[in-house]
Amino acid sequence: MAVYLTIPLFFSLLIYTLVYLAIEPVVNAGVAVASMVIARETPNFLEDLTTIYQDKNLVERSSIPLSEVVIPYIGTHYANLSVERLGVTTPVYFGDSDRILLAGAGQYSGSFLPGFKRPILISGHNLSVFNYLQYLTVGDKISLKTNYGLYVYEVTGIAIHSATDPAAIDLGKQEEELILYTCYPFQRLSSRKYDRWFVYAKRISGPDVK
Amino acid sequence: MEKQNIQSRRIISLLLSFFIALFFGSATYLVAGYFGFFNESVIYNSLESSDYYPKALEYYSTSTQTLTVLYGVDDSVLQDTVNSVKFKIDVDNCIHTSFYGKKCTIDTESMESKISANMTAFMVAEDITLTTEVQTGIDEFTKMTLDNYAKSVNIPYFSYYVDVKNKADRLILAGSLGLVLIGGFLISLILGMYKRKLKALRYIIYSTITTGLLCIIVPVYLLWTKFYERVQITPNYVSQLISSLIFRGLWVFVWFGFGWLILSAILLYLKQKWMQQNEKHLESK
Repeated sequence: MAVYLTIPLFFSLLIYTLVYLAIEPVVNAGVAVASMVIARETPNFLEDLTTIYQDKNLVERSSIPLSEVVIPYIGTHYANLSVERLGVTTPVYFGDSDRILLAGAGQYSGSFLPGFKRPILISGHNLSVFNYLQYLTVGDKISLKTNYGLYVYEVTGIAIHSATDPAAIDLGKQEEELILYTCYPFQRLSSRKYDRWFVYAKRISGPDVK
Repeated sequence: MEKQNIQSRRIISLLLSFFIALFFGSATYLVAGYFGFFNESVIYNSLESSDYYPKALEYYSTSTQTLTVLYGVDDSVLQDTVNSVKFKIDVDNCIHTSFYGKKCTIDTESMESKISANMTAFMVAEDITLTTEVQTGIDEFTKMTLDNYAKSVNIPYFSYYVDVKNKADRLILAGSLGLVLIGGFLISLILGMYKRKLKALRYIIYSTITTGLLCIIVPVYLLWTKFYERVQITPNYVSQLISSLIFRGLWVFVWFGFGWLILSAILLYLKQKWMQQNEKHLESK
């Protein structure tokens, strides 16, 4: 009776081996293509936005260790942006997907967190959270409060660029520049908005992350 | 001499048995591939089990909500334009038409008139004057919303799937028929080699068990690794649909494998039974 198991098992292994050897190039190509869409771990499909931001009193320091900085995941509210003169505060999320931009301002995940002496790029919708950008003027102070430090920036320039103008943003800069942008013009129900309203600001206070 | 003949016949039978398994195994893979992956009902089942409809509708709602924010209009302009029943009907219609190589067209007329009515009400409430620019904005918003809807009811990448299916259909039909015929011919060769057909049955059973194992081992291994749960394609609900489709498809292979094993068990049982009957018959003589 055992022969009814051993022979078919042997046949199966032999067939698998033969088939594999025969179609190996196709299998390899298939595996290479599949590996582009198959992650190492099961992806988390929960898209709920979360927060790590705590509105706490911060001790003034000139620098803070990197270990104190919690790098936010995409969709995490990690800071609050405010302009005291206009009396406005906006939650800032890490990432800038549609869902995030419906909830607040979104930081482009390819830009840097405050304190890293590199550019920070934040966007928001022009008829909701970033409507006030049109009222900012050069010299205005913008605060970006995180769990690890309060950063203050001073507006240095305001400009309108085409949405595809590469000169509008330089993320390779070796200085901490806060760049806020939104769609332009600001009117409701205007036709498609191909331009962007940019606000550039330089850091004037806040701890360096070391 | 006769012993040598018996030995040669046994080796030839084993070889034929091996090839029968190879041909039947390949044919089963083709047929299981058709029923597991290229069958319209499998798509609908996978859509249901992966919660595709509510997730795709939610995705559509989020993207149109973004449009309302971009154009500075209230959510109320989209009120009663789509519901889950209409969405499901449109998705299913699109699958059905695309499945047979036709272009999917969605009737968005009622949606368009509803958006127009809602927009008029919104403008009256907000006291917005209708200028040429505002009208252009409204037209753009409506067009983008309807385009977005049409895009949402179409399963992303489905046209590629249909292309593959159309090509695979012919291969499956011709291939499986050809393989079964060759397998059948080989079975007749084995049967022809033996005067006592029960002896030949043993080699056929080897083939059917092997075919069953072939259909079970690799799919079960893949089901065990759950690689399909790691598929990551945006939007996320497409990943879940593909994952569900692969999961269901692999199970079809396993069921076919069990089918072959059940057939093998029946053949084995019949063989034993007929052997016993033969022995009794010989004893009575």
